[in-house]
Amino acid sequence: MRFTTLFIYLFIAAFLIIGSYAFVTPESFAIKKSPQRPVFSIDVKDKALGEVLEDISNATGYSIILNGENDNLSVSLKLRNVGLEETLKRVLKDINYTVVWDDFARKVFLSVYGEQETTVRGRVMAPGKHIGNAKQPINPPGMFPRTVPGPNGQPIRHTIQRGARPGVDISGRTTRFAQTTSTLRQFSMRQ
Amino acid sequence: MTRISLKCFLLIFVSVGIIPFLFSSSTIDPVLLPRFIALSILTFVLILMISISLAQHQFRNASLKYDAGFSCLCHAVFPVLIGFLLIAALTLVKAINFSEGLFEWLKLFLASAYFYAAVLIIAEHPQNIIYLTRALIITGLVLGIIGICQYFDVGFRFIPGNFEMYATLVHKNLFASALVLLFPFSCYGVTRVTGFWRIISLTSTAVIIFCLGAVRTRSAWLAMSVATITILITYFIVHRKAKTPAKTPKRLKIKYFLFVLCAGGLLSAALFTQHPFKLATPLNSVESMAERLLLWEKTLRMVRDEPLLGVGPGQWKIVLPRYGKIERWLNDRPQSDPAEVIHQRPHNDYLWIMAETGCIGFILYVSFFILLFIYLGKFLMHSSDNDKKFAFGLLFAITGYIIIALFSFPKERMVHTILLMLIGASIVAIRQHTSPLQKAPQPLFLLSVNFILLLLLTLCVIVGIKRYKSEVYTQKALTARSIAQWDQVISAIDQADFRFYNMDPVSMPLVWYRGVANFSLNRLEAAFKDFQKAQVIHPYNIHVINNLGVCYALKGEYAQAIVLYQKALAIFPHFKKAQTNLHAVRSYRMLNN
Repeated sequence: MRFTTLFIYLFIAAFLIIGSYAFVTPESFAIKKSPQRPVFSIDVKDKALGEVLEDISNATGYSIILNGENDNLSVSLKLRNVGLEETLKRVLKDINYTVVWDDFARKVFLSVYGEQETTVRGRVMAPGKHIGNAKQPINPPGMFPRTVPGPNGQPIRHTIQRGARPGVDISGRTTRFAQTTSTLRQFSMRQ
Repeated sequence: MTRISLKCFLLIFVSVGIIPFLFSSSTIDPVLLPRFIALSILTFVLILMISISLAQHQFRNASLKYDAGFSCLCHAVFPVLIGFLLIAALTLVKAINFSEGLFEWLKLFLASAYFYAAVLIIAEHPQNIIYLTRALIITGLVLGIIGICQYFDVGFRFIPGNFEMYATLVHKNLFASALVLLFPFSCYGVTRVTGFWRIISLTSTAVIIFCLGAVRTRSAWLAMSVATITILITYFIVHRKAKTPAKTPKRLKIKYFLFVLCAGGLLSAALFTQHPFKLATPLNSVESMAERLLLWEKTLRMVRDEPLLGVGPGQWKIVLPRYGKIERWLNDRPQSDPAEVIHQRPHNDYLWIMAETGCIGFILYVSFFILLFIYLGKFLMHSSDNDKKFAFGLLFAITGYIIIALFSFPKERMVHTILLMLIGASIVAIRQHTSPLQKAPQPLFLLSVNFILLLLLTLCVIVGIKRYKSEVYTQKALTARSIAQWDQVISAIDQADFRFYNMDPVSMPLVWYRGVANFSLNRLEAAFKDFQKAQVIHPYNIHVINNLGVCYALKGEYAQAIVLYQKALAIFPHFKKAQTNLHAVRSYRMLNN
């Protein structure tokens, strides 16, 4: 093989290698580097939520740390070759919950607040709806409650910083309060 | 016709001619406190005048053969009212928030004291009822005209209120219920008086019918229907017992027919006119009824928990969230976020009374109405035809009030209370005129009672003025809050008098607003203290509980914060802020342990 031909082949190879790296975004690079979540199958019927989560934990190697009211919650589910995230979504579909993923430590922090569409002592309804239309499900705060939209509308994962204060905030700062059959002068809040 | 006495003139002119038209642009509720203060002052003056005449009577050592007014006080309705007030006072010991409880009790007391004064004055002379009727006819006419002007946007839009056509009653439903109470007096005027007053009565009746049609308040329509049916049934019963044929004079029949035609024409004009403004929920909407059913269910649970003494006057709105928050958002402004509704009344006065003063209080409250019905029944059996017409009018009004109180909250509003008490006083007065009681209380005893009443009425005036001033400052604070001027919020709230007024009309503690302002200015310690005070004032308010939890979390007391978030979520499981905060604190603790 002539030197010129070899040089051209090497040049094209170098171009392809450098070029392929150039087209990879930092995020996709990060995904490549992050641990992959396992895929598995599950088949349970009327099993307690705690036991189901224990099975999932054993099958995936992820520690699932559960908080909140989980008494009397039973699960029936049959899934094949699904990811951990999808499985949790299906298992918890009738429950108000929040999840925080710690992929590096292979931990899932799960907080459960009880079944949807029931309150402790009364019915509820969705914002913007009136009483009697309580069928609309009220979504949990989200799979990634500490996630905020990025510049392109895509979510950016935030990890909880060790040592910082917990990210809590007060409620009602700008809420307008009203009466039914209002006898009040109305105030408009700044948007 | 005899000359009207000064007492009677003051009673009728102020309570029917001035108080229903009083409002303030400086308070959050534009009418409640101004009218409360005015009614307190009026009642004080009337009882003072009664006391002076009593003292003169005693001083002259005249034989105490009282005129009709004083023997009225021996009717059973007065012991019932006193018993009710005493029970309500006793239940104050159960109050979580004493200042709200005190104000509510003072409102009940004021209504009773006003009733006492009204009975004594109206029963002085039969002619007083005619004066009262004329005043009520004019009030109905003026309120109706104001409502119509608002409806067609030709005036009176400067009066604060919700949903067009509210006159000076701040809400269309309250306007409609007041008209139901005024309607029988206008009708009575049509049948009883002549000449100029008959024209006024006819106009007033037509205007009221038009307004009731246009305002579209179902409870008012129901009240009108039930009251009409009650009148018809009573009419036939009375005539059957008296063995006289139930007939109507021909001349009147034609007039009524023409009148109904005119009113019907006006009504259809109102209903089919393209209304320029947004009206309230459609007539076929069941949402408000579903909401009321939910409120009643929770109120009954409250009664079951505290059957004997209730939760204390003015405490229903504070205790309600303990039975689970009813979530409702009001999309009343297209360019604003929806407003969070905080329920203030169960929209049923009887359940409200039962929940706050217990079953004994409820029985006494209902006994008041039963006694009025008994007086009316007895009067109808033994009176002349002309008097019967007035009694039928009173029967219509009292039935209307009872029906309205099943779906609304007339006991809270001053104008409705005045109308109820004037109707009640008229019933006692006509009963006294037909079958007078011979016995009467001793003047010294009455003077002592009046002295206590005057002291308590002074308290009413003081509390009313203090609350009025505090509400003016609260309104300033709310205006500052709406533009995020937190320093102004703090300075305005600091000027309110928390001894007499510690919650605004949506039951948010004033110190909670100050706490939010302090938190927004990064004054965590001050905010923490404010939220702690707010929790004492309203321990079941989810925003109070959550915000206190936030302060605990930021102070590093995570266990306490978690307990508070869980409490907020127990009251309202879908409270997203508390969910997120609870999750954040738990996650933080796990990651840092």
